[in-house]
Amino acid sequence: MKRRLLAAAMYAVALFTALVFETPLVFVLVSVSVVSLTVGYRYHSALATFVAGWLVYYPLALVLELLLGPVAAFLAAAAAVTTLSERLGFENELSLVVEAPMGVDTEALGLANRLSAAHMKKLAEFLLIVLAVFVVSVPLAGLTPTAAVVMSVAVILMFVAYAYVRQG
Amino acid sequence: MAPKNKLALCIIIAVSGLLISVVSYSGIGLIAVPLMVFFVLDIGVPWGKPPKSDLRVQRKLGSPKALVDEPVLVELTIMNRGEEIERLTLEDMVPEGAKLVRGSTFLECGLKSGEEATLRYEVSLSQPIELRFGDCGVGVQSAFGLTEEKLALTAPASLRVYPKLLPRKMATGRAKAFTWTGSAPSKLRGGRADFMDIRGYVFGDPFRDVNWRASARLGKKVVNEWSPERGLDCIIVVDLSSENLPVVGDWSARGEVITCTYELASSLVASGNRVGMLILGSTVARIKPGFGSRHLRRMLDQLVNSLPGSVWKVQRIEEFLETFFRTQYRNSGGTLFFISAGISMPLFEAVKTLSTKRFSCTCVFVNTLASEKAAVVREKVVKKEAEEAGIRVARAELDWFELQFETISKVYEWGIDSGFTGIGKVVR
Repeated sequence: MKRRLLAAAMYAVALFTALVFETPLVFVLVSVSVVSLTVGYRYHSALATFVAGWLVYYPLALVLELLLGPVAAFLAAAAAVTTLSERLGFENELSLVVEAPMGVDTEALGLANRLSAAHMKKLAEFLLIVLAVFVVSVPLAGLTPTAAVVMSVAVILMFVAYAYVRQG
Repeated sequence: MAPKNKLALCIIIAVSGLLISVVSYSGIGLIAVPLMVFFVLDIGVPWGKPPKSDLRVQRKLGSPKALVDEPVLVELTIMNRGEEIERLTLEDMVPEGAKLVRGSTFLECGLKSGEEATLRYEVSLSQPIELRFGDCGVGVQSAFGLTEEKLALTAPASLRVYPKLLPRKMATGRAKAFTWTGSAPSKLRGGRADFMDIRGYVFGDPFRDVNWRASARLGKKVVNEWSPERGLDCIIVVDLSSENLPVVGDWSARGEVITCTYELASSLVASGNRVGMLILGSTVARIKPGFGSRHLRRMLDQLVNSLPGSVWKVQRIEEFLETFFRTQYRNSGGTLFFISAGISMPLFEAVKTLSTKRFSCTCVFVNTLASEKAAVVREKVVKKEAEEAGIRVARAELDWFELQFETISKVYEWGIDSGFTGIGKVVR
């Protein structure tokens, strides 16, 4: 049920953005996103759901720009699609266990619920950090138009290097 | 920990966003910020070390032995002896042939240090076999599943699946299976057929043989004398060669051949006969003639172990008999039972040759047409209209071969529902 609700929310966001901005680019992005979302839901694929989320990023940012301004809109849209698609992808994967055709025992169900709660907690942490970044980046973006981009490049380079070291 | 596709996707999206930002001078590249937060939160802080997993698995079966179609509980327990694992997937590899009847073979959970989790499911098998459980796949993932360490852990266990012994029995009578008797005295309790005479008691005579009325009349202890019963000395030749074993998709006639053999062997042994066995499959298995339930169990174990093969063929039956059952072969003694699910000319030739050498041969054909039809329908091998025609042709072929075999041996047909059927009569 939770999975259905989340999927419905994602479909609603995608269709809403398509209705607000009736441009060909938005229409294409939303269409592919809906297809990807359906594939992810049907075949329990977290990756397809994640892709579906990111395809709605740009249309959603355009909608939010009308309310929040450019920098905040892009940040808010990115945070929203990451959270929604990650959670739905996780629920899709977990449904392989909890919605197994032959059923599962109470222990497996309990473990799955515990994992689900831990995942939710981690997502909440993620949202908190993004909010902190948001608070810092908006005034910074006010100083120079490219500040946000510079900040992003710095962050990504740092973490790519970190990932490289970590993998090694 | 190896990166998953999701991590690559995150990096591609972030880099693409940045490039578009630089070119278009827009804020689209800000996508990289939440993505990097997402990434760093998942992988851990830069100075943290990746968790070291020390996982162990243990498998427990509800019962090491089961009957065909009987559900067996499988419990796979995973223990974490290392550091805490945020997200873990466990998938058990169910051996080929086993059917999942309850539960899931997939588990997803988080495991703290020292904790354990158990995956439970039930399987059943449609034919007798020894099932060996082995590897299971374990994935140690980060919380958002951006990185994963894949492990293959082994939890060995074996399950032996035996055929069901149907309640029906052949009316073999005391040591008169299929009306032949052999030279060996029957080991059936009692071991006697007809009353012959009375004689004086000799020390060691069984107490139950004392004829008390005659003893009272004659004034001395006398005992009854019986004609000793003769058991059938027989060898069951089981044809499990791939050529003669019908196979449709996952279904094979092996299970029915084994059930038929078990039923026949059980009836013969229960009637006090001496039974030997020769199984022609992937390997040739020989069981010397013997009596009793322990001997029957030995034969059953060999049947369960046997697998279809193409090397050991019925054409060489005479050679096998000469090598493995020298006494019987030399004396042409006892009865040979041939059990096969597919009738072929090589089998006909083999039986004919042995019949001309004074061997008493009996052929039992396992009628698998109904099961085969069900498998054909299930696998959608042929069209609907072709099914009926195919069955009619197969039935006609079976009837024709049975008529040919009747000229050289006794012929019986066995079906899972009908049991043993002789020439126009049911032998049960």
